[in-house]
Amino acid sequence: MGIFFLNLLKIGTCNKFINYCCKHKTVVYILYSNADSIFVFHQNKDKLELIHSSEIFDKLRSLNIVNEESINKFIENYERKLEDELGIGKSKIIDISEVEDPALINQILAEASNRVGDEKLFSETKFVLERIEADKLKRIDEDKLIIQYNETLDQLTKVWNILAKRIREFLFVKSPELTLISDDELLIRELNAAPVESILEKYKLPNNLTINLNPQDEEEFKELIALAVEVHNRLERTRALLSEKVQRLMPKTSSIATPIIAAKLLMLAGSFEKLAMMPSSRIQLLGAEKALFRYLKTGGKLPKYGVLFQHPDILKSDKSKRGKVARKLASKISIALKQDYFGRAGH
Amino acid sequence: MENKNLIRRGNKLFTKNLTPGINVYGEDTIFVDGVEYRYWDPFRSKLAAAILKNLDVELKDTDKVLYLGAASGTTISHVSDLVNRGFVFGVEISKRVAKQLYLLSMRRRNLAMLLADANKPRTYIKYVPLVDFVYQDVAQKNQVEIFKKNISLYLKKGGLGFLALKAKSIDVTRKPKAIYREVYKELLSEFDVLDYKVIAPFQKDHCVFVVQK
Ligand SMILES: C[S@@+](CC[C@H](N)C(=O)[O-])C[C@H]1O[C@@H](n2cnc3c(N)ncnc32)[C@H](O)[C@@H]1O
Repeated sequence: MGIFFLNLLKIGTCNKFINYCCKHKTVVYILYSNADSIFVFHQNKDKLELIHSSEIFDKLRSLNIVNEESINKFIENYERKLEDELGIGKSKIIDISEVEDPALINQILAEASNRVGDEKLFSETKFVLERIEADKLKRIDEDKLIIQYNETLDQLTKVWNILAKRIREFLFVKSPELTLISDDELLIRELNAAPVESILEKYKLPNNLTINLNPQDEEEFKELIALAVEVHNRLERTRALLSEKVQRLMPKTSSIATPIIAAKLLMLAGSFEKLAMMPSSRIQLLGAEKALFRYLKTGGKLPKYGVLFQHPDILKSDKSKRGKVARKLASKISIALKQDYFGRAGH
Repeated sequence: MENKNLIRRGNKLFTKNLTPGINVYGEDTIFVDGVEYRYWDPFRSKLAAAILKNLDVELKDTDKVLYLGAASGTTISHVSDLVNRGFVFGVEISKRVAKQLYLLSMRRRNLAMLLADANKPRTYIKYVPLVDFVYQDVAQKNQVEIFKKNISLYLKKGGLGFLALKAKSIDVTRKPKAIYREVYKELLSEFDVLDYKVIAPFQKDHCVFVVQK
């Protein structure tokens, strides 16, 4: 963009402006950038005069590098030029976003609109915004991705439970003895690895009710099991990835709250920012909203904790002390969250 | 409201489609003298509800509008229809819905979107000029303050402001009516309040206000 500025000078667009500035070293300049143009105003008593506007738009369009950074850089270079060549210091160049008086802002906005012409102003601003906003929208938010994975995990767990139940029902037809194995994962992995007879043998189960179905039905059963195993594998990989991501984004919080609970807190808060700004009393009750609402409406018991109830510190403590433990835990989490949030790279 | 891009058929509202052949959220379309109009559902849009309740509000064909809380674009698409020769800037804070809004804006020559926080109006001052109309529907606790800040920076003198007030986001425990009264007074201390309407049965616990700067 720097080169671009020199181009403008070279082709003489700024000459009039420079002459003007040299003559009026004492005036106040207000720099206004409306994405496509830069406006410089001279404040004469309470009247504003536009003394220069550089229409950089066509150039920007042809360069095809319109983004927030390039525009800011352009403005920076412009400011430096004014300072170096004309002796107009930074203090006299005011960015419109720093102008205090709303009435003055109104005046500047109206003036820019008048000068450039509405149609041009709007269509060109739209063009610039389409690029700037696309850049913003394309940025990846790790916290949102973690929330996605967390929800994926919840839903995959539901799918897994449904499939496991279906397989058990099927077993009541084919081999009821096997339903004596109560662990879903163990049972289904065994079914996927070996024929029914050898599983019965391995677990020393009776073999009185087991039958062979016709080949088509046997095939159906096998495929159902393969699907369940696939879902479980997927679930484990998602859980591992989730845990890795949470630990990377929120290392301190993960070590205090466990990665799984940290991820759940993030999901309930909606974003890392919101979670980091929460008072610890709210963190303590995240996930207990229903109970809290019931308490507010109809009285009864105030909930002591939400998702924190799955935390080992709470599970292993006395029932009577759990409220206190939860409060302490929430406050430790709240501190860790702030350290993680403000300690992020690039923050 | 009188606007040449708005028609009524019985108690139904329709806006002249700026992008004929393309609808936005699965709404019905009709043809009048070969021109396509989109059905404007008062249960999905507070502005449509307010118009059906005879709210006194004007939006002209050439108006420039700043729309705060545009979400995925349901209502703003109709506003874009109404201000055919004008322009609409849509501000939305949530990236998820802003992506839908962006896609909508790509199709409409008079619509641009900004991913920004309406509570920090200075962050978009470099892109948004003075407008004739400020529309706000953000469902935030400090929605009145947000409304005042934006009007102060962006609304022309004499321009209109439309506030869709959601009582529940100001205070869930208080009676909506008490909140409406309070907001009315607060607005009155700074603007002319031209009209207000409770928009039941279309939306629960909502009151809309029209102010003039
Ligand atoms: C009730 S919805 C708006 C619906 C929309 N006006 C319509 O009728 O199609 C409220 C929207 O305001 C957005 N919002 C909330 N706070 C905001 C803020 N501070 N700045 C910008 N948008 C905000 C929300 O993300 C949400 O999409």
